[in-house]
Order: sequence, then structure tokens, then C-alpha cells
Amino acid sequence: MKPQWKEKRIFLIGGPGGVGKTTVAAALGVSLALEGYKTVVLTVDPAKRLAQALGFENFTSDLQPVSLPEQKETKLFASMLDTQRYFDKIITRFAASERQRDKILNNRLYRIMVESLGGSHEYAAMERLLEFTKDSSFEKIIVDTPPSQNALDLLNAPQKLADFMDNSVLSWFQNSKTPFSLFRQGTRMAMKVLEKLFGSDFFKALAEVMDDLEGMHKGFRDRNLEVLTLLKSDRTGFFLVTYPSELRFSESQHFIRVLKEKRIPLSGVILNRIEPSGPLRLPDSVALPKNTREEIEVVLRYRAELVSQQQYWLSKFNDAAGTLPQIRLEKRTEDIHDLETLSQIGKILIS
Amino acid sequence: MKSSTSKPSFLADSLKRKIIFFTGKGGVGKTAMAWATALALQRQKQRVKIVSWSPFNNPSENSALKDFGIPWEQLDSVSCFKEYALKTLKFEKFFDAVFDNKILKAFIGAAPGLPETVIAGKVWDLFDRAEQDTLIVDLPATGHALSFFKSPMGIEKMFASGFVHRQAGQICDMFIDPRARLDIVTLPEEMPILETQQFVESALNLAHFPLGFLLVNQCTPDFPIPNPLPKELSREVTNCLIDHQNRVRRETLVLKEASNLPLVIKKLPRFSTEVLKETIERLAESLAESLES
Repeated sequence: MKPQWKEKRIFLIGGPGGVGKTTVAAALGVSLALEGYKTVVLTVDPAKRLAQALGFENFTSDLQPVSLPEQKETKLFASMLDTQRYFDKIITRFAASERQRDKILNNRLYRIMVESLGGSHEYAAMERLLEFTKDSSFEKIIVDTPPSQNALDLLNAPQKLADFMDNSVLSWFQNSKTPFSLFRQGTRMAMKVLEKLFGSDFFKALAEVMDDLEGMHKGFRDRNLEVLTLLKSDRTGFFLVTYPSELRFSESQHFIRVLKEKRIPLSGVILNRIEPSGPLRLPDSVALPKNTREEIEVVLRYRAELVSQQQYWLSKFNDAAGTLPQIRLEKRTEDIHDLETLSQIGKILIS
Repeated sequence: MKSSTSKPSFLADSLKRKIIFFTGKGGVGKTAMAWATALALQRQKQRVKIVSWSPFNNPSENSALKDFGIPWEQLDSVSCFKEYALKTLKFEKFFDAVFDNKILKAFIGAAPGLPETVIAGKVWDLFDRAEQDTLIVDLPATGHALSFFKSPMGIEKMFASGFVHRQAGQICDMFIDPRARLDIVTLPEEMPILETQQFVESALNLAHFPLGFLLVNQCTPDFPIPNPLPKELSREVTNCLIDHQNRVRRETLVLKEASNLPLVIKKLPRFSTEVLKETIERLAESLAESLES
């Protein structure tokens, strides 16, 4: 993110699962805070030792200050997402009355809904991000996007929820309000089918939640627009963390394509876990017992093969990325668990 | 699977199953493992079918997989729902007019537990069919996999009537059928192991799942390394060997955390290839080896 990190305020760190997004987000946070910016890292479910490094070990408050060495004033904050709590907050915000709020929060189906609604983590992350952007004291906001199958869920979540909350969907459940009788007939028939399939209890409970959510759709729609504006802002940067392999390469291409369609600019690609390369050959001049030489050569061949495979996919990434800034991070043997290592990685990210 | 005195062989056990579910943290290689298992079984002349479900209808499947000639189906909740409704209710006439609209799509896509239940229903429908010996189910990452198992159970308990209620019971029976198996794919790293532990705990709280293997993907091969290292080696070579050894040690340590889980641990090596098709072929060979590591 070489020349860009100074102008950006929001850093969205996305990518497929298991590529080291959380570590990249934490490392970037540490280095930006060390540069003197008041920074918050928003993360979901960090690794145990990374959590220790960021001060989540005895996590009590929503916003945790992280003290960095040689820093008098705390510049780094970490925030861990609690999806359930955020949804409750969102409902509280959008509900027209206390009665409506309580009715929804106490609905048994609402509870299951928050747990199982596709993209609820993603939605909650976006909500929290919006909240942080409104606090002008935060100069840099880093979002470690939730782990998910598809790195684009985050972008789709507010839209998906807004679609679900759409007035037309809600009114479908209140067929008396539908203006066209033909459609009403179809609706009634569909309701009958659903009732047969799911039982009248289930269906009644569901219709009840939908009814309760009525009037809240505007809030959700406005929120979706706000998120989209934020994502397209010049001060927001989307960074793709990935890994040089065939699978990750095709996923990343898909990712870049969808971002383009959505007109959300990608600010950089971070290629993680690169095997350190070296002259991995055993010169013939080294005199060794045959057995020993063979053992060593097996390891060296294996490692050299790993490196050359990665180099192949790296060159593919190079061609595909064009002029996009790229950062490469070496694979580390140990799990990262201290601020020192995080700041080392962070330095590479912003140098 | 009970941890008996001798570890069962992955392939021998798989040959006895009618259905095998795969889940694990994102990015650990679930899809590759599901395909490799199918390939290993196909090589034993078994008739295998793979179904995969991604809650986001993510077409991430690699086209090279088609070369294996294994029947494969990507399940999506809207078409499964349609199929189900047509079949159970014989409700064809108005179906498209009523169901093929954005409202229904939004509803099926997001209503609580519905997509999961519909998918589970489809899997149940495919389970135990005469045309295949084994059904391989490639589930999404652990969180979504849990809601896949949870949803039909919730519906069965919470709602007292309806077709789905009646079928939910049968779906739940399939999950704990002795001919079913649930395997978890992981990596020899802290986060995936932690997620495995959490998943197992939550899953066993739900039901007595027939937990099978913990497939530890991408383990650094434990090549024998001369001890002590010859002094004649250059620094680069020495460092590379030490780094390799450290990786093996570190992974062994991390894997200790998983040793108490009610799963049979099977380590699979990290191959030096980063090409999916090749990886699956080599994984299939490793899975077929009877010696468990």
C-alpha cells in the first residue's frame, strides 16, 4: 500500500479464509499507530496468541486500548465484534417504538435469524465500521473482514439485508395490502404451500417477525446506501490478502472482477506466506556420506519445488494485477504472537 | 468413531459409509479433500456422487475437477426448494408464477434456517439411493455447517406440524445414521485447530454425530534430517534444514491440542504442487494408504 496508506482512512482487509487477514490487519494497525495515528483495528475472532498481543486476553470492553512500547499516549485500539449484540443495537436504532423493539428482540425466531441469517457477521462488521467512521478522533480504521467462503460477502451483506427488509417483501406477508388481485391470489396460494410445508406455527411466527420489522426497511436501505458510499470513497482502501496457488488465484480473479463491477476500487494485493527462496542446492564439492547427502537433498528438492511452484503463481498474479500495488510477505514458521513481530510486518506493509 | 486400540484405515472405513460430510475452517482445503476422498473411492470401483453447498452460491469450483468424471452437483436453496415443493405437493401449475419472483428468492435466501433445511432435505433425498454407493457432502465452513445440522433439528423441535416437521425428523436421523460419517478438515496451525475444537464441542452438544476423521491437511513432510547437521553445509542450506525441522516440530506441538478430540487424526502431507487437480490426485493416493500417521 506504498504511497496510499497516508491518504486512506479506512482499510478493508479482505480475502479468502486462512490467508492471514487478521495478522495483516493487526500488523497494519500496530505500524500505523507507531506512526502516530490514532488507529482502531476491528476484528472478529482473532487467534489466541494474536489476541494476547492485541490485549484481548482479558477482553472486557468493546474498545480495548493496546499499549505499544515507547508510546506515552495510547494510539492503538482494538475492537472485537459481537454479532448478536450488534444486531440488537441495530434493531434498537431502527425500531419506531420501544414496543416494536421489545417485540422483535423477544421473538424466538429473531434469535435464530441473527444466528443463521447468511451474512449477519458481515452486516454487523459494516455497521460497526460506520459507527467508527462517525468518531472523527479515529484517524485510521482497519477492518479485518470476517472469515467467509466468499470474500465478497462483506460487500453484499448490507444489500442482501436491505433486499430482505424491502417493503415489497414485507408486504408480501400482509396480502391485504397488495394491490393486484391476481398477485394476491398467487400470494395466497404460495402462503398455503409454505404453510403446508412448514406448518402453520412456523409460518405464523415468521409472518409475525416480518410484520414487526415493517417500517424498518427504510432504515436498512439508507444504511446500505451509506455503506456503499463509504466503500467507494477515496479515503477507503480495499486490500486483498491472498496466497500464490491455483485455487487462490482463480478466487482472486473473481474477487477483482466483482469489485470492478461494483465500482469499488482495489487498492492493493498482499501476497502472504511466500516461501523464502535461496540457492537451495547442495554443491557437489561438499563431501558427505552418500546417505546423508541423499537425506539433505530430499528436503532441498522439496523446498525448491515449493518455491518454484509459488513463483509460477506469483508471476500469474503479477500479470493479472497490472499496475496494482503488490506487497509480498514471507511465510513464518511460528504463529505470530508479539507486538514486535507485528510491527516488523507492519513496517513492510507501509514502507 | 470410538478410539479403539488400532486405528481404522480411512479408505476401509469410507468404503463402509453411505454418506460422508466434510467441513472445516475456511481455506483449509475441504473441497480438495472431499474430491480426493471421492477419487480414492472411485478408484476402488465405488459409485460416488459429490454434492456441494455454499450458502453464497459461490462458483469457486475449478473446472478441472470435471476431468475426474465424478458426478457432481452444486446445491442451491432456491432450486432445491422448488424441486421439493413440486415433489411433495404436486403443485406445478402456478409454481413459476408464484415462486419465481424476487420476493420468494429473498425469502428463501434469508429466512431463518430455511436455506439450510431445504439443502439438508435435498441431501436426505439423495442419501441411500441405489444408484450410488457413497454420497460425499462438501459443506461450507464450520459456522455454516453447524447451522446446516442445527436447522432441521430446530424446526423439528419448534414446530409441531407440516411436511417439513415430519421430514426434519428423518433428516436428523440421517445425521446420526451409523452409515454416515462427519469428517473435519484442518491445518496444523493454531486457528484451524481451535476452530475444530469449538466445532466438535458445539456439534456434540447438538447430537451424537458419527464423528470420523480429523484430516490434517498440508503437514510439512517429516523427512529424516541428519543429526547433527554436517558442518560442511553452507549457511543457506543449514538454515533451510533447520527451518524445515522447526516447521515439523511446531506442527506436532499444535496438533497435540487436537489429540483429545473424539476423531481419528490422519495427517496428509503438504505437496510441493499448488495446482488443484494434481493436489487432489496426490491427496487421493495418501488417503488410500492404510497406514495412519
